Amino acid sequence: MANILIVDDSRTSRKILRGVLEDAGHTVIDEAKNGQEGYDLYVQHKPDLVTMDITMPVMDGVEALKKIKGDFPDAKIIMVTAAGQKHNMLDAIKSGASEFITKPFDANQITSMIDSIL
Amino acid sequence: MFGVYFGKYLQDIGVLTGEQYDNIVEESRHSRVKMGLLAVNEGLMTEAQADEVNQIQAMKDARFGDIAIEKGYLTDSQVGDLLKKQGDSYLLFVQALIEKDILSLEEIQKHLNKYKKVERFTALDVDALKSSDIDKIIPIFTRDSTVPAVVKDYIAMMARTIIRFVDNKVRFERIERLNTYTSKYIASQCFSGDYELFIGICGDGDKLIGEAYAKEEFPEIDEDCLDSVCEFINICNGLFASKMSQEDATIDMLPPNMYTEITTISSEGNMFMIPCFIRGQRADIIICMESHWSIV
Repeated sequence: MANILIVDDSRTSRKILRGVLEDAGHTVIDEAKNGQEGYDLYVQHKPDLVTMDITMPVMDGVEALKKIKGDFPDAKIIMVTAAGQKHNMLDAIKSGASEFITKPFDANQITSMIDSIL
Repeated sequence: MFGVYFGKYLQDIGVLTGEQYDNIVEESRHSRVKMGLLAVNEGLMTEAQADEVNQIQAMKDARFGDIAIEKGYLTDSQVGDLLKKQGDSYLLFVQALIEKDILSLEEIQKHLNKYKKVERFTALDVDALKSSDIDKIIPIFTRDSTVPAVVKDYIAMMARTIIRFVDNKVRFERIERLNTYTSKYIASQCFSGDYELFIGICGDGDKLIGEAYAKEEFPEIDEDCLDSVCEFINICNGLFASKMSQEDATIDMLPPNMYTEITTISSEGNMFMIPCFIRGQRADIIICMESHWSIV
């Protein structure tokens, strides 16, 4: 089972994701509210996996992904986004995102995705 | 769905008490079976197929039946049959009024005729309300030639999403064009790109929307509750962006904003408001266009 860092500005999304991940037996090692906080907590915890929202204040998810992958090329990061953000997804794929989760969350999809990445 | 509208009229003219109206609406909640469950029970689809359609529906603004047809799991006529089996809301409502000795069939017809006149509904409008088909119902309340098509499209999509995630007994009223709008509670998100829109859901109804989306009770409308409403708007905006991308339009969603003090939105004539009522609580959907808005 994995240690996972959740990066999302929405408390609701963090809560729903935490529930799905913990139900699947994973440990949510910490939560960040924006990309910069996400980067800082990645450096601190070196988690097995990060779930990274795209639309966030201070530093968005794509920028945070690039920053983490720049310093930690082996980092595994799943991007989280609402539907219809294809251009952001393409940018994230080019920058090394492992996978995508589309809101609203589907527990089965998330857990099988994590299993295949780890 | 029809009972929510006609029942409110009967309550307003004193034929139904608030309690009777609430009871009839509550009872009708349990009279509609989910399409996937119905299809599986009828042996038309497997559980795995129903789950797959539900997953696609979570990412695409389309109805269960339409996706199932597209995937080849159901035919047009099977979907038609299943829809009939889901329950005729008009007949269920009429049945409830008669069974509770509130009105006779003749009296119902008399009130229905008056209701059509008062609300300026055509026979087609009443048929649409009786159908419970939100795609037919929403145009009744957005029928104003000065309202841009993108606003009408957005409202129809949000109405479908409210029905899916919040409450299938939501009632809408006619759209209004405003210059200013003031509320204590506003959850909002803007998009930029080929369409520049401000989307807000405001008022006391935010509590029910926030609770339904987060699946959590909030003691009051606080930042956690509005955060949940913002996420709900985010889902709606994602579905809208997805639809627009099929027309080669690109939309960037900005981080959501929430307001918990008295706040006024002003616009130079490009603000639209459609009231929606969920379990008696009012939530106003606000849409401002083309950056001509300000918030104080």
